Amino acid sequence: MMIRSFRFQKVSLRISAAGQRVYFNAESHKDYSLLKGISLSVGYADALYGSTFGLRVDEKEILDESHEAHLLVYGDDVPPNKKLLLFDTPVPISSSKIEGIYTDSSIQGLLGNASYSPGGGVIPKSNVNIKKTYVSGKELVKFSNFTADLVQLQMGTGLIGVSGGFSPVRTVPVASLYYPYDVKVSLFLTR
Amino acid sequence: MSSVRTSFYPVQFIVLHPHIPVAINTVLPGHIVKITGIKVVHSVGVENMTSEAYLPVVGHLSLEFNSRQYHFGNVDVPFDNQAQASDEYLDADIDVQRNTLLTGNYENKVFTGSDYVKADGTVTDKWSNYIVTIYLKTSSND
Repeated sequence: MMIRSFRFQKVSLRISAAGQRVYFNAESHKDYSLLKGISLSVGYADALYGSTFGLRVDEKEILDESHEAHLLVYGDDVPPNKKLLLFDTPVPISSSKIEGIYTDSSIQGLLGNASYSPGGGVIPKSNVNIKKTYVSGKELVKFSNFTADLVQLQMGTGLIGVSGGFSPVRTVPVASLYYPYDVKVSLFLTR
Repeated sequence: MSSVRTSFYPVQFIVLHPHIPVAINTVLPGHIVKITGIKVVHSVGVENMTSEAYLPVVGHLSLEFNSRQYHFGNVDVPFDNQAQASDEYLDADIDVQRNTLLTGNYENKVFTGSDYVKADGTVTDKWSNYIVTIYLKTSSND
Protein backbone atom coordinates (compact mmCIF):
# COMPACT_ATOMS: atom_id res chain seq x y z
CA MET A 1 0.00 0.00 0.00
CA MET A 2 1.33 3.42 -0.89
CA ILE A 3 1.93 5.74 2.03
CA ARG A 4 1.10 9.36 1.55
CA SER A 5 3.91 11.86 1.73
CA PHE A 6 2.07 13.96 4.26
CA ARG A 7 -0.45 13.50 7.02
CA PHE A 8 -2.59 15.68 9.23
CA GLN A 9 -2.39 14.03 12.60
CA LYS A 10 -5.18 15.23 14.84
CA VAL A 11 -6.16 15.35 18.44
CA SER A 12 -9.47 16.64 19.75
CA LEU A 13 -9.88 18.51 23.00
CA ARG A 14 -13.15 19.27 24.74
CA ILE A 15 -13.28 22.47 26.76
CA SER A 16 -16.09 22.20 29.27
CA ALA A 17 -15.83 25.33 31.41
CA ALA A 18 -14.35 28.84 31.52
CA GLY A 19 -10.71 28.83 32.45
CA GLN A 20 -10.36 25.12 31.87
CA ARG A 21 -6.91 23.83 31.08
CA VAL A 22 -6.48 20.70 29.01
CA TYR A 23 -3.25 18.82 28.53
CA PHE A 24 -2.48 16.10 26.05
CA ASN A 25 0.46 13.82 25.62
CA ALA A 26 0.71 11.93 22.35
CA GLU A 27 3.13 10.24 20.02
CA SER A 28 3.83 11.32 16.46
CA HIS A 29 3.00 8.86 13.71
CA LYS A 30 5.90 6.46 13.24
CA ASP A 31 5.98 6.76 9.43
CA TYR A 32 6.65 10.50 9.36
CA SER A 33 9.90 12.26 10.17
CA LEU A 34 9.13 15.99 10.07
CA LEU A 35 6.59 18.21 11.77
CA LYS A 36 6.15 21.11 9.38
CA GLY A 37 3.27 23.05 10.89
CA ILE A 38 0.30 23.19 13.17
CA SER A 39 -3.20 24.61 13.21
CA LEU A 40 -6.26 24.58 15.41
CA SER A 41 -9.88 24.46 14.39
CA VAL A 42 -12.93 25.21 16.46
CA GLY A 43 -16.62 25.53 15.81
CA TYR A 44 -16.94 28.65 17.91
CA ALA A 45 -14.14 31.02 16.90
CA ASP A 46 -14.76 33.65 19.59
CA ALA A 47 -13.75 31.11 22.18
CA LEU A 48 -10.18 31.33 21.00
CA TYR A 49 -9.62 35.01 21.75
CA GLY A 50 -7.60 35.15 24.91
CA SER A 51 -7.18 31.39 25.04
CA THR A 52 -3.70 29.96 24.72
CA PHE A 53 -2.00 26.87 23.34
CA GLY A 54 1.48 25.56 24.10
CA LEU A 55 3.31 22.79 22.27
CA ARG A 56 6.38 20.74 23.02
CA VAL A 57 8.06 18.05 20.98
CA ASP A 58 10.36 15.65 22.83
CA GLU A 59 10.21 18.06 25.75
CA LYS A 60 11.54 20.95 23.67
CA GLU A 61 9.31 23.98 23.54
CA ILE A 62 7.93 24.96 20.15
CA LEU A 63 5.05 27.18 21.23
CA ASP A 64 5.14 28.85 24.60
CA GLU A 65 2.17 28.07 26.85
CA SER A 66 0.96 31.64 26.39
CA HIS A 67 0.79 31.50 22.57
CA GLU A 68 -2.64 32.79 21.61
CA ALA A 69 -4.85 30.10 20.13
CA HIS A 70 -6.61 32.40 17.67
CA LEU A 71 -3.33 32.87 15.80
CA LEU A 72 -3.34 29.16 14.96
CA VAL A 73 -6.92 28.69 13.91
CA TYR A 74 -8.63 28.09 10.64
CA GLY A 75 -12.37 28.46 10.32
CA ASP A 76 -15.12 28.26 7.75
CA ASP A 77 -13.81 31.19 5.74
CA VAL A 78 -10.13 30.55 6.15
CA PRO A 79 -8.66 27.48 4.49
CA PRO A 80 -5.95 25.55 6.35
CA ASN A 81 -3.21 26.50 3.92
CA LYS A 82 -3.82 30.17 4.70
CA LYS A 83 -3.75 29.85 8.44
CA LEU A 84 -1.51 26.87 9.09
CA LEU A 85 1.47 27.98 11.12
CA LEU A 86 4.37 26.60 9.09
CA PHE A 87 7.75 26.23 10.72
CA ASP A 88 10.68 27.68 8.78
CA THR A 89 12.76 24.82 10.10
CA PRO A 90 10.63 21.66 10.31
CA VAL A 91 10.86 19.84 13.61
CA PRO A 92 12.48 16.39 13.29
CA ILE A 93 10.29 13.66 14.76
CA SER A 94 10.60 9.93 15.21
CA SER A 95 7.65 8.54 17.14
CA SER A 96 8.23 11.64 19.20
CA LYS A 97 6.51 12.70 22.37
CA ILE A 98 4.15 15.54 21.57
CA GLU A 99 2.60 17.55 24.37
CA GLY A 100 0.14 20.39 24.31
CA ILE A 101 -1.66 22.57 26.81
CA TYR A 102 -4.78 24.51 25.90
CA THR A 103 -6.01 27.06 28.42
CA ASP A 104 -9.39 28.66 27.94
CA SER A 105 -9.57 32.45 28.33
CA SER A 106 -6.24 32.59 30.10
CA ILE A 107 -5.18 36.07 29.01
CA GLN A 108 -8.40 37.79 30.10
CA GLY A 109 -7.51 36.77 33.61
CA LEU A 110 -4.47 39.07 33.48
CA LEU A 111 -6.38 42.27 32.67
CA GLY A 112 -7.10 43.12 36.27
CA ASN A 113 -3.50 42.80 37.36
CA ALA A 114 -2.32 46.22 38.52
CA SER A 115 0.94 45.22 40.15
CA TYR A 116 3.04 46.93 37.52
CA SER A 117 4.30 50.47 36.98
CA PRO A 118 1.57 53.15 36.60
CA GLY A 119 1.45 52.84 32.83
CA GLY A 120 1.87 49.09 32.69
CA GLY A 121 4.72 46.83 31.71
CA VAL A 122 5.85 43.36 30.73
CA ILE A 123 3.85 40.66 32.48
CA PRO A 124 6.19 38.17 34.15
CA LYS A 125 6.21 34.71 32.63
CA SER A 126 5.35 33.30 36.02
CA ASN A 127 2.01 35.12 35.79
CA VAL A 128 1.32 34.25 32.17
CA ASN A 129 2.19 30.58 32.22
CA ILE A 130 0.25 28.88 34.93
CA LYS A 131 2.82 26.37 36.00
CA LYS A 132 0.90 25.50 39.11
CA THR A 133 -2.08 23.38 38.32
CA TYR A 134 -4.35 21.99 40.95
CA VAL A 135 -5.85 18.60 40.37
CA SER A 136 -7.83 16.78 43.04
CA GLY A 137 -6.23 18.98 45.67
CA LYS A 138 -2.71 18.10 44.57
CA GLU A 139 -0.35 20.65 43.11
CA LEU A 140 1.42 19.71 39.92
CA VAL A 141 3.97 22.13 38.67
CA LYS A 142 5.61 20.99 35.46
CA PHE A 143 4.38 21.01 31.91
CA SER A 144 6.15 17.75 31.17
CA ASN A 145 4.63 15.74 33.98
CA PHE A 146 1.17 17.23 33.99
CA THR A 147 -1.42 14.53 34.51
CA ALA A 148 -4.99 15.02 35.45
CA ASP A 149 -8.48 13.73 35.66
CA LEU A 150 -11.90 15.17 35.03
CA VAL A 151 -11.52 15.84 31.37
CA GLN A 152 -13.13 14.54 28.28
CA LEU A 153 -10.60 14.09 25.56
CA GLN A 154 -10.83 12.21 22.33
CA MET A 155 -8.05 10.67 20.35
CA GLY A 156 -7.41 11.47 16.72
CA THR A 157 -5.87 9.29 14.07
CA GLY A 158 -2.50 7.95 14.99
CA LEU A 159 -2.28 9.45 18.42
CA ILE A 160 -1.80 7.45 21.55
CA GLY A 161 -1.15 8.07 25.19
CA VAL A 162 -3.51 10.99 25.62
CA SER A 163 -4.44 12.34 29.00
CA GLY A 164 -6.01 15.58 30.08
CA GLY A 165 -7.00 17.80 32.91
CA PHE A 166 -8.38 21.07 34.08
CA SER A 167 -7.60 23.69 36.58
CA PRO A 168 -9.92 26.13 38.32
CA VAL A 169 -6.92 28.37 38.95
CA ARG A 170 -8.54 31.68 38.17
CA THR A 171 -11.93 33.18 37.70
CA VAL A 172 -12.14 34.55 34.19
CA PRO A 173 -14.60 37.24 33.12
CA VAL A 174 -15.69 35.81 29.82
CA ALA A 175 -18.85 37.06 28.22
CA SER A 176 -21.26 34.99 26.15
CA LEU A 177 -19.15 31.91 25.58
CA TYR A 178 -20.86 28.59 25.32
CA TYR A 179 -19.46 25.44 26.83
CA PRO A 180 -18.53 22.82 26.03
CA TYR A 181 -16.70 23.44 22.79
CA ASP A 182 -14.22 21.28 20.94
CA VAL A 183 -10.81 22.26 19.64
CA LYS A 184 -9.08 20.12 17.06
CA VAL A 185 -5.30 20.26 16.87
CA SER A 186 -3.87 19.41 13.42
CA LEU A 187 -0.21 18.54 13.14
CA PHE A 188 1.15 18.70 9.60
CA LEU A 189 3.59 15.80 9.19
CA THR A 190 5.71 14.87 6.20
CA ARG A 191 8.05 11.98 5.46
CA MET B 1 24.96 17.42 20.49
CA SER B 2 23.12 20.68 20.00
CA SER B 3 20.38 21.23 17.45
CA VAL B 4 18.66 24.28 16.10
CA ARG B 5 14.89 24.46 16.22
CA THR B 6 12.25 27.01 15.45
CA SER B 7 10.20 28.20 18.39
CA PHE B 8 7.83 31.03 19.10
CA TYR B 9 8.33 33.21 22.11
CA PRO B 10 5.59 35.64 23.21
CA VAL B 11 6.23 38.67 25.41
CA GLN B 12 3.02 40.08 26.90
CA PHE B 13 2.71 43.56 28.31
CA ILE B 14 -0.25 45.35 29.86
CA VAL B 15 -1.37 48.92 29.19
CA LEU B 16 -2.93 50.46 32.29
CA HIS B 17 -3.32 54.14 31.35
CA PRO B 18 -4.01 55.85 28.03
CA HIS B 19 -1.47 58.63 28.57
CA ILE B 20 1.43 56.87 30.26
CA PRO B 21 3.98 55.12 28.01
CA VAL B 22 4.83 51.53 28.82
CA ALA B 23 8.49 50.61 29.19
CA ILE B 24 9.40 47.16 27.87
CA ASN B 25 12.27 45.53 29.67
CA THR B 26 12.80 41.79 29.81
CA VAL B 27 15.58 39.24 29.43
CA LEU B 28 15.18 36.79 26.57
CA PRO B 29 15.73 33.09 27.35
CA GLY B 30 19.27 31.89 26.86
CA HIS B 31 18.34 29.25 24.29
CA ILE B 32 17.28 31.87 21.72
CA VAL B 33 20.15 32.54 19.32
CA LYS B 34 18.41 34.28 16.44
CA ILE B 35 15.16 36.10 15.75
CA THR B 36 13.80 35.53 12.26
CA GLY B 37 10.40 37.18 12.55
CA ILE B 38 8.44 39.62 14.70
CA LYS B 39 4.72 40.16 15.03
CA VAL B 40 2.95 42.49 17.46
CA VAL B 41 -0.73 41.90 18.14
CA HIS B 42 -3.39 43.21 20.47
CA SER B 43 -4.44 40.28 22.68
CA VAL B 44 -7.36 41.27 24.86
CA GLY B 45 -8.95 44.39 26.35
CA VAL B 46 -9.64 46.87 23.55
CA GLU B 47 -12.81 44.98 22.62
CA ASN B 48 -14.24 46.23 25.93
CA MET B 49 -14.00 49.84 24.67
CA THR B 50 -15.27 49.59 21.11
CA SER B 51 -17.79 47.73 19.01
CA GLU B 52 -15.46 47.88 16.00
CA ALA B 53 -13.74 44.68 14.90
CA TYR B 54 -10.77 46.54 13.44
CA LEU B 55 -8.79 49.64 14.38
CA PRO B 56 -5.67 50.17 12.24
CA VAL B 57 -3.51 51.58 15.05
CA VAL B 58 -4.06 51.43 18.79
CA GLY B 59 -0.47 52.27 19.62
CA HIS B 60 3.14 52.52 18.51
CA LEU B 61 5.88 50.22 19.72
CA SER B 62 9.60 50.87 19.52
CA LEU B 63 11.75 47.75 19.98
CA GLU B 64 15.42 47.25 20.76
CA PHE B 65 17.42 44.05 21.08
CA ASN B 66 20.72 43.01 22.64
CA SER B 67 20.43 45.45 25.55
CA ARG B 68 19.72 48.48 23.34
CA GLN B 69 22.51 47.72 20.88
CA TYR B 70 20.12 47.06 18.00
CA HIS B 71 17.04 49.18 17.29
CA PHE B 72 14.57 47.12 15.28
CA GLY B 73 12.34 50.09 14.56
CA ASN B 74 8.81 51.26 15.25
CA VAL B 75 5.78 49.05 14.78
CA ASP B 76 2.14 50.08 14.50
CA VAL B 77 -0.06 47.87 16.63
CA PRO B 78 -3.57 47.25 15.25
CA PHE B 79 -6.67 45.94 16.94
CA ASP B 80 -7.93 43.19 14.67
CA ASN B 81 -10.58 40.75 15.81
CA GLN B 82 -11.45 39.67 12.29
CA ALA B 83 -11.08 36.05 11.21
CA GLN B 84 -9.05 37.15 8.20
CA ALA B 85 -6.49 39.04 10.31
CA SER B 86 -3.00 38.75 8.91
CA ASP B 87 -0.77 36.05 10.30
CA GLU B 88 2.39 37.36 8.71
CA TYR B 89 5.54 38.04 10.66
CA LEU B 90 7.80 40.97 9.90
CA ASP B 91 11.05 39.60 8.56
CA ALA B 92 13.98 39.92 10.90
CA ASP B 93 17.50 38.57 11.09
CA ILE B 94 18.80 39.42 14.52
CA ASP B 95 21.57 37.48 16.21
CA VAL B 96 20.73 37.46 19.88
CA GLN B 97 23.47 37.75 22.44
CA ARG B 98 22.94 35.47 25.40
CA ASN B 99 21.16 36.94 28.43
CA THR B 100 20.61 40.37 26.91
CA LEU B 101 17.56 42.57 27.24
CA LEU B 102 14.63 43.10 24.97
CA THR B 103 13.69 46.72 25.55
CA GLY B 104 11.28 49.17 24.07
CA ASN B 105 8.58 51.71 24.56
CA TYR B 106 4.86 51.58 23.82
CA GLU B 107 2.58 54.58 23.44
CA ASN B 108 -1.17 54.16 23.42
CA LYS B 109 -2.94 56.20 20.73
CA VAL B 110 -6.64 55.49 21.32
CA PHE B 111 -9.35 56.23 23.88
CA THR B 112 -7.43 59.19 25.25
CA GLY B 113 -10.31 61.67 25.64
CA SER B 114 -12.15 62.90 28.70
CA ASP B 115 -14.52 59.94 28.56
CA TYR B 116 -11.58 57.77 29.53
CA VAL B 117 -9.37 60.01 31.69
CA LYS B 118 -10.62 62.30 34.47
CA ALA B 119 -9.20 65.76 35.11
CA ASP B 120 -7.14 64.39 37.97
CA GLY B 121 -5.45 61.91 35.64
CA THR B 122 -7.18 58.77 36.83
CA VAL B 123 -9.01 56.60 34.33
CA THR B 124 -12.78 56.33 34.16
CA ASP B 125 -14.75 53.11 34.17
CA LYS B 126 -14.97 53.29 30.39
CA TRP B 127 -11.27 52.63 30.11
CA SER B 128 -10.18 48.99 29.94
CA ASN B 129 -6.66 47.80 30.55
CA TYR B 130 -5.44 45.89 27.55
CA ILE B 131 -2.69 43.45 26.70
CA VAL B 132 -0.38 43.53 23.70
CA THR B 133 1.82 40.58 22.77
CA ILE B 134 5.14 40.70 20.93
CA TYR B 135 5.65 37.38 19.14
CA LEU B 136 9.23 36.48 18.34
CA LYS B 137 9.87 33.72 15.81
CA THR B 138 13.20 32.38 16.92
CA SER B 139 15.92 29.87 16.26
CA SER B 140 16.87 28.17 19.45
CA ASN B 141 19.98 26.21 20.21
CA ASP B 142 19.58 23.34 22.67
